[in-house]
Amino acid sequence: MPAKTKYLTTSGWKRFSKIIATIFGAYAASVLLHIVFIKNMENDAVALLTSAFSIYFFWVGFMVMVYLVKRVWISWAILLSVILISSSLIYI
Amino acid sequence: MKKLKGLGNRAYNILFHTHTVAGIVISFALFVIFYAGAFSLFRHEIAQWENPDFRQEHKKDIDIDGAIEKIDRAYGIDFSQRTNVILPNKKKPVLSIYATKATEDSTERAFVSAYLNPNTGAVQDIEKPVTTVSDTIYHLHYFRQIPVIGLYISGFVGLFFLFAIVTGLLIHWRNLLTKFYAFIKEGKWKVIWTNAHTVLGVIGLPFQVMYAVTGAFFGLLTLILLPIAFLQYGGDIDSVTSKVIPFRAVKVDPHAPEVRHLSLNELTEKILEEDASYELTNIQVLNYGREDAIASFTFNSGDNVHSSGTYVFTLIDGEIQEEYSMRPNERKNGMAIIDYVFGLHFARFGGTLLKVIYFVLSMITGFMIISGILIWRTARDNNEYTYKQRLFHHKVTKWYLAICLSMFPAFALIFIANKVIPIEMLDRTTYVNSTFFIGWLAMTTLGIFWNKYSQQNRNYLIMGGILSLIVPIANGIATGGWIWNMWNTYQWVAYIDMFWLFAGLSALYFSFFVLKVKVTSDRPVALESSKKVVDEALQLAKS
Repeated sequence: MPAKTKYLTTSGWKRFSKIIATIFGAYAASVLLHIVFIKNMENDAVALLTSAFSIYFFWVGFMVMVYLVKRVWISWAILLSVILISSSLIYI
Repeated sequence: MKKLKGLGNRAYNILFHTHTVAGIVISFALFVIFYAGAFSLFRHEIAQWENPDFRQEHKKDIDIDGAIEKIDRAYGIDFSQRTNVILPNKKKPVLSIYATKATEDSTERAFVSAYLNPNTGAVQDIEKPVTTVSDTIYHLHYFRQIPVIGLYISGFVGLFFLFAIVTGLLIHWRNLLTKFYAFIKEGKWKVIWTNAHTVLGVIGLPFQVMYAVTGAFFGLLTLILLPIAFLQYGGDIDSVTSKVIPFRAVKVDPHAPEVRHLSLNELTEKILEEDASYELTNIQVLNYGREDAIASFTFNSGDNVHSSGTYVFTLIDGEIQEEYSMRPNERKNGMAIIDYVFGLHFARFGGTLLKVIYFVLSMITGFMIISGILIWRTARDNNEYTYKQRLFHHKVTKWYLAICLSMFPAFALIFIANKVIPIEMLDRTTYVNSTFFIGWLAMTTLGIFWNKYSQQNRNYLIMGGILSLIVPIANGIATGGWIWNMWNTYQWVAYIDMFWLFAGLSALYFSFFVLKVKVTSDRPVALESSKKVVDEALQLAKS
């Protein structure tokens, strides 16, 4: 029953990179995305309150994405583009 | 029954692996959180059981101003900061005050936390409590005993629990309908554990998702509030919180002239004149005794999530400040989210029955966590793994089971310790806590010497069963609070004793009459040595 190893990542640095991406990359992407959402909502209090729990769903969603995407650099590219686009929208 | 379309092979195996790794890493911490959390649902009831101060009549008309002045005289309160007054209720019939200590040196903030016994007038420091059963269990629930990072650890455990739930649901997806009623207790152990894990996982799904998210919310709140405050609100945490709690935005002048203003008692009466059924829960007051004094009264008008209300009055004239106030049942859903989160997490919306259901679901989740560990181990107990790997799997499983299963006797032990250590003894909470933690550690260590998981299970049940039966007896002898005495006065004291009586009797019944422990060991047998035995036997047979 254990997962078949032929589908799993064997390279050590790729695994490390994925773990960093799930914890920090997914966190940054999720939080920044929500700040854009709060900034652009008329009622920012309600947006803030909704973020308080939806951030975790997005965080976990990005985590699953990191593992499902075949190549590590593509998951990083997705996360970084979310981070960069959100950041630029926040500073505009 | 039709199978649902599941994941592809690659996705299935990858998510399966992440589910296993995330699950094994958080498993025992998650078990501790759920087990301690299940008991913490009843922490106010347990407080009444453990502390004689809370076993007294709930006085309705209480002098709030007198209480504040009394605690101010004893500790010195800095009224320019928020002073929070928690009013007595039936389960906790004392008036608690949380405030900032008045100090000459303004660089350091010290706090006042004390409660006043309205019947005797005695003041008790909350930081140096008389008893600590419910507090210790509640603090264990979010690892407060670990300095600084404990709360964050519990938050991350919640987050990865959500991750494990999502991946678990995805890999189980194709069997979701066919295995919905797989309450099967025959077959190989691997199949039994798997069915238990998936069936209980699906039944507990809404409950577990709710706890994963709200748990992460409480544990990681700082992590998400800090970036929002810095990037959106110019680094001002107060402006974030005042979005949710308008009263936080109120600013007062610490040098405003001292005056005699309306008393909090008078304003309380004014609120009760509107509707006598309102139940005041707490009062927050700023600059008490000065011209711009202002107070926020929170009360409950019923049992639903929208029934709480907040009235803010300036104390000099008793005028209601509408911009900070919120009438009951008028709040929009969007603004009530924090109430929902608290209500869901602390089971505040459905009375005692709901708490009992939550307790049972928490125990089911605990069982699910343990069955997950056992699947992990059983699925690796074959020749595809080296002897060293298999021994490692066995040892990890043994340690995890020892930590988790010894919580039952350890919890009974802290309840006993609270009654056996005399109530007048100085620093008694230190002794109660050390009895609990050292006892838990000792029982865990003992479990390492049992190589059979079923033996661990049965022995901990016997230990827990015996200790559980002592709990009501210890309570009866130490405080006179026998079940039949408390039945008509403080029912919760009787209920908790009855819970331990029931837990003890059923644990002993199951361990002696239901569970069967075979004498063999779960420790894997080294292939080399077994090969050697076979070779020697063959040699013997030949000669």
